[in-house]
Amino acid sequence: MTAQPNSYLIHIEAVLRDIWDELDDDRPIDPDTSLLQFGVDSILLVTLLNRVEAELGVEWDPGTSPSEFESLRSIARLAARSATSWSSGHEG
Amino acid sequence: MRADPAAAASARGPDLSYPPEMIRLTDTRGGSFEVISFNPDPEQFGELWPGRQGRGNPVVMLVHGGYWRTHYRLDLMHALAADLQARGLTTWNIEYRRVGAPGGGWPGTFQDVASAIDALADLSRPFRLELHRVVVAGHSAGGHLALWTAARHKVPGGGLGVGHFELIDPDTAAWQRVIGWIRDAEPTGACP
Repeated sequence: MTAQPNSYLIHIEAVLRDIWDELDDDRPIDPDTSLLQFGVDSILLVTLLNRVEAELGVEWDPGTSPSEFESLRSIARLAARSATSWSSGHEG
Repeated sequence: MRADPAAAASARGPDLSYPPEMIRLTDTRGGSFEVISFNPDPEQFGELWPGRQGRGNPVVMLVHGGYWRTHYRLDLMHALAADLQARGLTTWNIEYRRVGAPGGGWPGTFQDVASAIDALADLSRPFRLELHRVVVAGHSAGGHLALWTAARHKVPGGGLGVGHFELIDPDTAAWQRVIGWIRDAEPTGACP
């Protein structure tokens, strides 16, 4: 199985839009902008990751470098990479 | 990060264990505490570790960390609370709703921390607390929350709908000593 980062990205963007809706926030979402720059702080990032984890069956490793979570696209890449390593029998 | 089929995760249930390097933080070291709810949700409670008996007690409120997530609980502060208790300080080690649990995240997590500190007013008589001598300390996410308690009166709406508790000025020699004890007692290394 080959994981597609773009399909993860679409899903992750949708999850963030849901969070924005709950917070009555309609700011635009840019997959390449630093999350901090458009207002995703520590607790919102964990809220996002928690939902992605539940919906996509992805488990986040606390040891992952914070830079891997810099933008929505980098998170999607991380998710896709982990899915690939899972399907080929490696734990990343 | 690992991909993990949701069905498998569901089948094995939640894993509440800590990694080995964190287990030592949960050691109560012979200390004792009383569990007290400050609101009805099962996660809205604290542990009151009484300090010296028979006199007024300054209070250290501890706020645990752990990525804001449900996996990490207030027992991560047990060794620290026991150390402070052994030094004669009363400790209010609190739990709160975290991301992943109903009501956790913004604003519920913050409301719980606010309620927890306000609960000290009710606890002051039975536990002889000196409410003019309260310090809030936290680790990681708990550090965010501890700092937030000092500024929550600036939140529009009066601090998330609960009262504003006056914190002491931490810039005194006595409380610098307390802060030093906390810093020295924290054996967390690279823990969350």
